[in-house]
Amino acid sequence: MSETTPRDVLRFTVGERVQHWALLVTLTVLALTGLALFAHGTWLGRTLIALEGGMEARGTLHRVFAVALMALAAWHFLYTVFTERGHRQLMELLPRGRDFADAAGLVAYYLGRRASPPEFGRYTPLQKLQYWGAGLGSLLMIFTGLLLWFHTQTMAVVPKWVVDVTAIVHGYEGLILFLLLFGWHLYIVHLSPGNFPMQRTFLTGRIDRARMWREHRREYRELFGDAPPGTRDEEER
Amino acid sequence: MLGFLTALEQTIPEGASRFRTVIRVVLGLFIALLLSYIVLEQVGSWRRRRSGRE
Repeated sequence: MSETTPRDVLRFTVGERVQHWALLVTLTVLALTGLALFAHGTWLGRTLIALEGGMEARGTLHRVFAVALMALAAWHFLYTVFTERGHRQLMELLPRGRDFADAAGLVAYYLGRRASPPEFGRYTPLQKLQYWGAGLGSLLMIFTGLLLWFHTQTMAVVPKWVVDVTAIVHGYEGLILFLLLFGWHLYIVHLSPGNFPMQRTFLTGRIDRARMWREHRREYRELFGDAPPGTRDEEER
Repeated sequence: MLGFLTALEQTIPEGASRFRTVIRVVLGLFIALLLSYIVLEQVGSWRRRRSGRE
């Protein structure tokens, strides 16, 4: 499949989409099995525990998918460090001073203080926030999860209060990650104005040129010049 | 598994309990931030649609 066609552009490769699906599946199972323990005293927790086959099965499921998340984190790390494309994506995702000005510009646009939204590059400030929130959040979950999984060994080297605090951090960070991805990320990608009911890029990996012009104009200009999609100048190129 | 959970719950010291309160406040602020963004974008979108009709 070619990188670009007159209508759309390849935004995410098959490997990147597989990583996204793997993260979606692992975090969904981890959230459901973790929420069961987090809210074990409520009807929701009891229902989830019953659906997951009891406490023992829930724990096993949580650990199996935790290992899958660790493998995915290792894969993503190798992808971003050792492949040219992956490294370029990581560089594009690094927060820059301009992101703060762009985020402020976006708020001003929503408030009606400016006529058009800021021109974004390949990743908008909100997309960067979601990537780093999910990435660093997952690493923190892996670290605290390992301390709790091997709590006997942990308590052999640190005081008991460290395990208490780790349990609190793991539970609430999990809840924050859940809200970030299954609330905010879903809203921004699929439910926000212009995207409802679903944006297809996560399935096809492709982005329509008109959408690219609206949402990633700096990247569009770098690839295709200043003429908007569908105009005579752009078609002749 | 439940034994570990019960042990954790029964022996959480006061310091950890205060820490949990701090974390809950952070969680509340985070939820407020996410909701304000959604409200802000929806209001902005509604204003633009309304001015487009006029």
